[in-house]
Amino acid sequence: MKNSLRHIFVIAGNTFTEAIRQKVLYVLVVFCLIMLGGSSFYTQFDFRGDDFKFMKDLAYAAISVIGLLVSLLGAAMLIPAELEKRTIYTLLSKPVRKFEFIVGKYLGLVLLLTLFVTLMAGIFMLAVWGHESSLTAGILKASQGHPTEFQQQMINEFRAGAYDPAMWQALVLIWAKLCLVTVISVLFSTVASSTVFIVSCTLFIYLIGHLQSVARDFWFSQSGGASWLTTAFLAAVSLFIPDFQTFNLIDEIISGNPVLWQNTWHILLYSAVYTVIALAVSALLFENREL
Amino acid sequence: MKYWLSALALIVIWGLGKVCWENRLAAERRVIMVGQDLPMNYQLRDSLGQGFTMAALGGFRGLAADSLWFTLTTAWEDQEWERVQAMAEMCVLLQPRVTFYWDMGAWNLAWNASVAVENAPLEKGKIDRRKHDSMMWIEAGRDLLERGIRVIPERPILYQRLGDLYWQRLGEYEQAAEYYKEALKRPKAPLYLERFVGFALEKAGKNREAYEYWKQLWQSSKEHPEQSQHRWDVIEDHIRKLEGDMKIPAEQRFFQKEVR
Repeated sequence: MKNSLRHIFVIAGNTFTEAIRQKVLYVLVVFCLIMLGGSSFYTQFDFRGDDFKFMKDLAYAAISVIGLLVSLLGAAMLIPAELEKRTIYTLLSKPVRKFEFIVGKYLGLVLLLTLFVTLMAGIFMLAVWGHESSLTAGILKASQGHPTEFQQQMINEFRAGAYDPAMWQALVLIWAKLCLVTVISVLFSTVASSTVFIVSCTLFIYLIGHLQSVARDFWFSQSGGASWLTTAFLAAVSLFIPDFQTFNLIDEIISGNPVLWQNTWHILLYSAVYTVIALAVSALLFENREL
Repeated sequence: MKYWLSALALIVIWGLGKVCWENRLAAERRVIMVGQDLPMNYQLRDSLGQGFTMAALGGFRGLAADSLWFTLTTAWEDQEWERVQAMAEMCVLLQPRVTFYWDMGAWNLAWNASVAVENAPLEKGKIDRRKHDSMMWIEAGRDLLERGIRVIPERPILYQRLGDLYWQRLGEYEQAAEYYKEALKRPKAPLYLERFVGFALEKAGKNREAYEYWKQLWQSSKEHPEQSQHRWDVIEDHIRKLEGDMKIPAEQRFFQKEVR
């Protein structure tokens, strides 16, 4: 057990090191930074500007999209590359089991995603706080340090929007969603060796995952009217694909609806259990694979 | 083969448990979104319509609504009011819980569109429909705000805006006072709305009601948690002015000795 954990951590560390050496990652980070910087431009459309909605929308979308690419490319490039370069044979000839390899690879990618989301979240927070400071300073300057009742209300709203603790909840949910996408990508990489195939399949699951709740509702509400083919299709979508709509509490957070941490923990638990199951399935499929 | 079967069995067993868990998470999400878990029939109708669009857009619903808002801004600059209305409707469809779209959409219709129509030059040989068209835009703005209130009843801003609309666009001050009062019942309502109720009642010519309201406000505000922020001078001025207007005898006046 102790040895197994050591193997997993070593593989995770190596995967992380290998991943951050990839130039494509830096290109993606630069793109994300440009989008985050561009979010300040968005604020000119936000006439009331009290909750920084436009800025948050763009920033969360940027982190989600670029994070999705990081996780997809990470999983789809690293595992097939090990097979292609035949480095996996050296690794598996040591007393390292296939499931340790899979779990280690996944944890390395999670580490990469954690670093990415933390870095982007930090920059995003600085952008929001900077914008809040400039807005508040503008009002205080205009009122010569004595804001009217209405101006004070605006300042309070700016501060509430900029220092809203729910922003962290949204970032945690984005991170959890990306981790779930990564495990699906890892699962596909255990049965396929083409990067394009792995990326396409994972994206396909990602898109269907956003419609899974609709399929599930139809499946549950059917009362014998649908054909067996329709029922089988709806059941397959509901059983095999995760419900990515679950993570869309982010929209509610931006809308200012109170989302309890309890709800967030519940989603994190769902993601964690899903991840464990997906990793177990990946390990089983990888065991079966002839290398 | 044995591994494949084990993997498939694991997925199916997990899948059966997972759908129940996902249903529970979806119910929690609906409570956050609309304040209640709606019955299945409603969910299905929703799934067929806007729910499907929202689901298809995945995590980028906010961004899609923002893009539409930018298009609306362009339409506003070009004074294409039908387009403004259509864009506002799509924004509130995509993000019904965002007050900004209801609020600013209604402002564009009931203020910008209606005033633009009112001030438009009359074309020769055509019937003057400017008043009628202006009223149509005001009604469209009011409708948007009323629908917004049904979706987000717990926040004060849309009640406040509806009060503003009744005051500034329709001249129905008593109705405006009612909506300001409704706004004040909601948490985080701005304190100045307390005075707006009094102003509206005075504008409506309800001097006796306004006088009672101002007195009540003066007394209740003493226990107000944010009393230091209150404009006591304004309240006092209005009480004195109304006492003068209503010719209340000196001995019955509110401020005999007590002056803050």
